[in-house]
Amino acid sequence: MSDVQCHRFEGQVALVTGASRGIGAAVALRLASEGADVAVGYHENAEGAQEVVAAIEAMGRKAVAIAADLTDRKGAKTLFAGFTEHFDRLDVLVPAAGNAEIKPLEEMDVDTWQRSFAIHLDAVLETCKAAYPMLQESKGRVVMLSTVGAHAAFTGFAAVGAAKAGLESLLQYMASEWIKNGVRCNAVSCGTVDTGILERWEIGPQVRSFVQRKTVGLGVAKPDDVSPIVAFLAAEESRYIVGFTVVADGGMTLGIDFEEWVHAAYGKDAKL
Amino acid sequence: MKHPPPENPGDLTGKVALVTGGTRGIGLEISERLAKRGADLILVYKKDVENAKAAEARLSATGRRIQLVQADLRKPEGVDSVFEQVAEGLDQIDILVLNAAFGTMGEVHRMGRASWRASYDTNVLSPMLTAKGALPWLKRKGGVITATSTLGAHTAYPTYVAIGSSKAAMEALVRFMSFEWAKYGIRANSVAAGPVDTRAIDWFRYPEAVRIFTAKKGLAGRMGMPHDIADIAVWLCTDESRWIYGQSIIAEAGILLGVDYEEWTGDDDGEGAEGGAA
Repeated sequence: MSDVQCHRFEGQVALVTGASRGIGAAVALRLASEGADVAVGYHENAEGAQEVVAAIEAMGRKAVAIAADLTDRKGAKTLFAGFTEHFDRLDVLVPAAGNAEIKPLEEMDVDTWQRSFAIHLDAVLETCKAAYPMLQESKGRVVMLSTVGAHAAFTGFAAVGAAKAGLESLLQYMASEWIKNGVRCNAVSCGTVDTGILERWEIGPQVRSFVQRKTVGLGVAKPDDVSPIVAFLAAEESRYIVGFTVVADGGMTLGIDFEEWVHAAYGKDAKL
Repeated sequence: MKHPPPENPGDLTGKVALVTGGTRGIGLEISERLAKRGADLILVYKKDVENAKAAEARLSATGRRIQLVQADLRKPEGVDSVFEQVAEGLDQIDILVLNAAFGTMGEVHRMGRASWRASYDTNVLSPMLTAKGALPWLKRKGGVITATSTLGAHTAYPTYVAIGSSKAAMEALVRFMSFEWAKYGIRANSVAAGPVDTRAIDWFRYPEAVRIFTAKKGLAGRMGMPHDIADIAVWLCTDESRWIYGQSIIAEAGILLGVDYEEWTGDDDGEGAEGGAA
């Protein structure tokens, strides 16, 4: 039997936004399973948020669902008003709220573009700023969520990719400025994750088969393939990692196999 | 909810880890953590038998099986001899930690051919041959390769070109191994460490400058220690990092993250030194 640490967040409080489903929910559950009390931030999916709260309570931890529209300028204020009603400390902040609208650039409208920057960039800045005094007190950690679409161009993904690239740059500034007061910030840049979003995209099935090929059969990640990485970056184990974005994509963007590409595009019998 | 979190995340019970340079410094800290998570160990060391025995004695306290292997990894026949001894010993490798390193300090204009070659032989050729040698075992049930690298592969330090550039090559090698061997269920990643308080710091012309800078800029007001890096390397060996392929995780406590003009002008009042700061 090994003496593995699995209570890394005992006595700590975490706030996870976008925690009613997908990666946010998986992160909330994972942190709770290691001892954290969790504030479950959500926007519209009250049912999902309640389910997460119930699951956390079943682990014997405290959980509270807090509704806030983070694309609204006052969203972060609302979130923290709710948070401080129930919790008096904050150790781990995971701003996971996000959305992804697919649209090629020639069809890009200002509203779609702004919606993406509002939730993926502005909202993270505002949420982190609101959390900073409490994080400073606890020597807390921030773990942001990004996408490999910030480093490479995926069909129709510009609005998200560009906003997340901005987020990864924001991370560097935030990490550099805040580490001086003991607040440690990092990010996980994910490949394609099964969060229900693929079903909403017209190109969902193509994405799925692309990912299946490029990850050598691993396929689309489950939220719980990503949540252990967030937990690691929130834990003491990663104390020496600051301002870094961990790419976790199952190898999807690692390289290009020319033969495989030709076979995928032109069929198995294509002459090489 | 679906996907309940694992009961024992990061458990390595039943696995065998081969660690090169595993009997001192960061390698020893990695070995100890792997053993505490339940892995048996094959520790490769170069020549210091006494130190290797001491490491074995310390690690035996974990109750894991330990096989010591003496080999000079800079020579291809040295790498071959490792795997002959593995076959006769524990005959299993699930985790390969490429940690043995060597480097000659010196600026580009002073760098000699032999010194350059020695750095690249230990830091690039040897990891390639070692990984290749371990491949038949790693393929059996799928495995993990974790390499220790340096921040010097991503930036530049004084007199560090032989190590920094060879480690950059090693990180590229790791990426290619991950790309080529994913089909065998093998993952490969690196952790690139900022300056860590090991005997290697004394190779710098002004070791004190490295220590002062790192402690001042670092997160905990102290220099990086082997355990800071070992925690990350070992985590990369566990299933917790299962979605990370071919990456270099930079671990430097934020020392190179930002530029603080005031520091560079020696002006704490922020009034700007002579000549003015931007």
